[in-house]
Amino acid sequence: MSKKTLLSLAALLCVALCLQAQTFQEGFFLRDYKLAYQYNPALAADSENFLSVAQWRSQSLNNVGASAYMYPTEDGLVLGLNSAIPADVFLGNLPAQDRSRSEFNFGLFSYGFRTTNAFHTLELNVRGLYSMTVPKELFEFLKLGAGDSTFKMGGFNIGGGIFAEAVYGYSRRLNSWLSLGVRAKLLLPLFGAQYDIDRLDVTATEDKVEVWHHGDLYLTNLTTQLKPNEQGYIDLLYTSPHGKLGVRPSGVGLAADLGLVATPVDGLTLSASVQDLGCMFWYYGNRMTAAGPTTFEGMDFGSLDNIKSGSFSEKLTAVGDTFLQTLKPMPANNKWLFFLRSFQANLGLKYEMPFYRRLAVGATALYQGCSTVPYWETRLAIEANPWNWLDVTATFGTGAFGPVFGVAGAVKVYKFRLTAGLQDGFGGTVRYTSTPLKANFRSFTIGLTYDL
Amino acid sequence: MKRFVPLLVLLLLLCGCQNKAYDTDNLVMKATLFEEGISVPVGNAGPFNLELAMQVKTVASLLGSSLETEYDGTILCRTDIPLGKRNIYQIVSETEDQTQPTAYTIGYRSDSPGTLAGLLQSFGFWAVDQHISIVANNPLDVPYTVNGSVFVKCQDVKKWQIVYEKTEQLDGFTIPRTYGDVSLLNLHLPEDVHFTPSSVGFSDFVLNLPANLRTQLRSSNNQDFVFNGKYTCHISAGENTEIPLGMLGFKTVSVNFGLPVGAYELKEVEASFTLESTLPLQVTLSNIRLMTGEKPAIDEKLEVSPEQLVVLGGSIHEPGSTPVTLKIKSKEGAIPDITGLSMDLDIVSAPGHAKTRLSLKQGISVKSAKATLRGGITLGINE
Repeated sequence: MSKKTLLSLAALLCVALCLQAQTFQEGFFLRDYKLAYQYNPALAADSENFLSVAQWRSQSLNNVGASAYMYPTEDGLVLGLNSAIPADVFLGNLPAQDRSRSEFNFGLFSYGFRTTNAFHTLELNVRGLYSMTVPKELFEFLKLGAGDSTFKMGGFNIGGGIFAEAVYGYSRRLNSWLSLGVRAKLLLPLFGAQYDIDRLDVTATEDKVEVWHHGDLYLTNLTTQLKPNEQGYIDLLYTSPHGKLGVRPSGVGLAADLGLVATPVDGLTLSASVQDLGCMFWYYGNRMTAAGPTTFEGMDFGSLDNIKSGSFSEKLTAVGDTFLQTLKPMPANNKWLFFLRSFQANLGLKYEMPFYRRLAVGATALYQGCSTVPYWETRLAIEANPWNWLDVTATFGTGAFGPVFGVAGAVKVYKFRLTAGLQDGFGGTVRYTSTPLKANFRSFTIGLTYDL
Repeated sequence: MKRFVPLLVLLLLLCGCQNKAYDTDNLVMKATLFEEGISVPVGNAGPFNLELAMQVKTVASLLGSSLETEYDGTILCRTDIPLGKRNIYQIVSETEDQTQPTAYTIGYRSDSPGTLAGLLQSFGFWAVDQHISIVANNPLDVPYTVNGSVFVKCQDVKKWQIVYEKTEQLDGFTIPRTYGDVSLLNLHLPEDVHFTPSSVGFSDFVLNLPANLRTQLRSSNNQDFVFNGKYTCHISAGENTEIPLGMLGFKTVSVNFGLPVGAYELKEVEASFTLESTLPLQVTLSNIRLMTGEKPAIDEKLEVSPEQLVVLGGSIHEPGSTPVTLKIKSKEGAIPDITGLSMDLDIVSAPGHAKTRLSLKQGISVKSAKATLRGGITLGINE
């Protein structure tokens, strides 16, 4: 493999596996929300001691919605590959690459405590991510065919991973109107899997059908090596019985959050923060490559009896098996891969109404960079805290995929505070599912804190 | 606070807005691929050889003949010629003085061995490599002699003319004491004689037997004087072969098979291939139609073009080559499951290939078949 190819592959992997920052902007507006420091570490400068357990946060982004793949017709809901849907309509609705990613963050605990001049937080999270990239060319090929030329596809990617995150946070007031916060994160990859297809060329002519495929499969595993079978292939179902590919440390990473909060006038809060500046090294103890051309130039059907008896079906199956053979992975050199963390930059503004301090308005903006699905958005917000035990906020704005909205609320009972929030886009979902019909950004948060 | 309630309700509704039109319970799980067409190589098939011809063995046996295959695949037509037998006790009973040598007259006996070959000949085929043998046995412990002649006559059945005649005199021909058969005639007909023997036999045939015939008998298990013949020939195409398939009821041929393509909702299929024939016959396929249905019947909605194909004949060393492009199109809807093929057949001799012997190795092969599917292939995704 040439150096150029290796660099291309590395670059592809960096783009594909950049880890996504997560956001809960509504938390900026909720009053006395203890976990707001995750949005901006400086917001904890005036916080009180707390303990939080079992916080769940998930986020998904997709740059194309289900409506690009499904179409209501008089005959029912049909796929874009249905002949009732013209090619220019179906293909016109697809971006160059269908990109999607999801991530979850399960906060095992967060503990915040005050010292004389500063506020400190400790937390341990388990985070997971999934991403997929499918090029439009695949659907062009399926919908129209390749004609007499070679149809070149590449840039398929599917991958995911789980890693642990241990975080220490420090916040303090610099003066009466300015606060600073920082969070340092130690990241510990536990399990990751990645499959990249950088080449898939299909030639279908009267003389031959040729498929040229090259794909790399990565599995993290520090100690156990998957052994190839007699044919030199790794049979994942056979060689990885329970326990062999377990969850275990497979690399290391570091990241940091930085934040500043200013309160220049009474009732006005300005926030600026950057989350997840950092990188990760993943060790893929098992790397496999599936590559090679497969060519079909016709077959020998034999006699009329063979055709009548259907034995040519067996021959067709054999041809299929030959093509599948190129998808079987062979062992390759193990590899460390370097991934930049996807960072998120946030700006926020909140102003409590002088005539009714329990009502606030504000605005937020964010940008997620170095991500499989780059994203930005701006929102206007309104927040109300009519009673001490109830706090609600709503946001509305526009983002990379169109209009967005968010709602969040917190209910306080004694020293317990239950907080939940949802950010979503418009466009509706597939019935009985949460699959968005349009390109979408969605985030959901729920968590419980206890004031110590 | 109340003023915020409508806004919150609106946002929650938007959040949970599920589009009824996108109900996956109504999702048609079908995908039509390659709408602009796709071409694929198919390969080769055959040869589809003359094994079918061997299935006329039953007919052959009814005509007293058999069809055999030689080591090189050549078809050999074989017919036994029974010319009679005489039991020694019958001869004794008909002899006045058994103590004296006896001249026993058999006289005239003949048979027509080329019935099958003659039938083929009437279609224009030629009988070639014709061979006739006549043998006699000797059940006695001593030699005996025969007088008379053996003859072979070939007749042009259309003109009722004798075209070949051969007679061999056997006066005083000795049949020695032997356990095997003794040849009375071993005749290869000339190459230019393509007509089958209309008559093979002997005339004025007399057995000159020793005195005390009964005591000369070698074994009580073999008491017969037997006279047999054998006729063999190969069959070749003639210069004006024309098989009257219509008269034989084979004019329209139907081949039933299963080609389950209906599920793929194909609109048009174009198949191109080369028919390579080593048959010394030119086969014309016409009125080619496809059959559909559980009980295969011609489907008028399916167009096949061209409707006629002329498959050129050839030989094993010089096959005839016929490029073919066949289009199948449905006049209405998609092409359903195809369950058979119907066509009219005309078989005539291929120019320049007369005298080429018919062989089981001859046949028609499909070479370099390619298919182009236009309008897409529909697949059931959950199937």
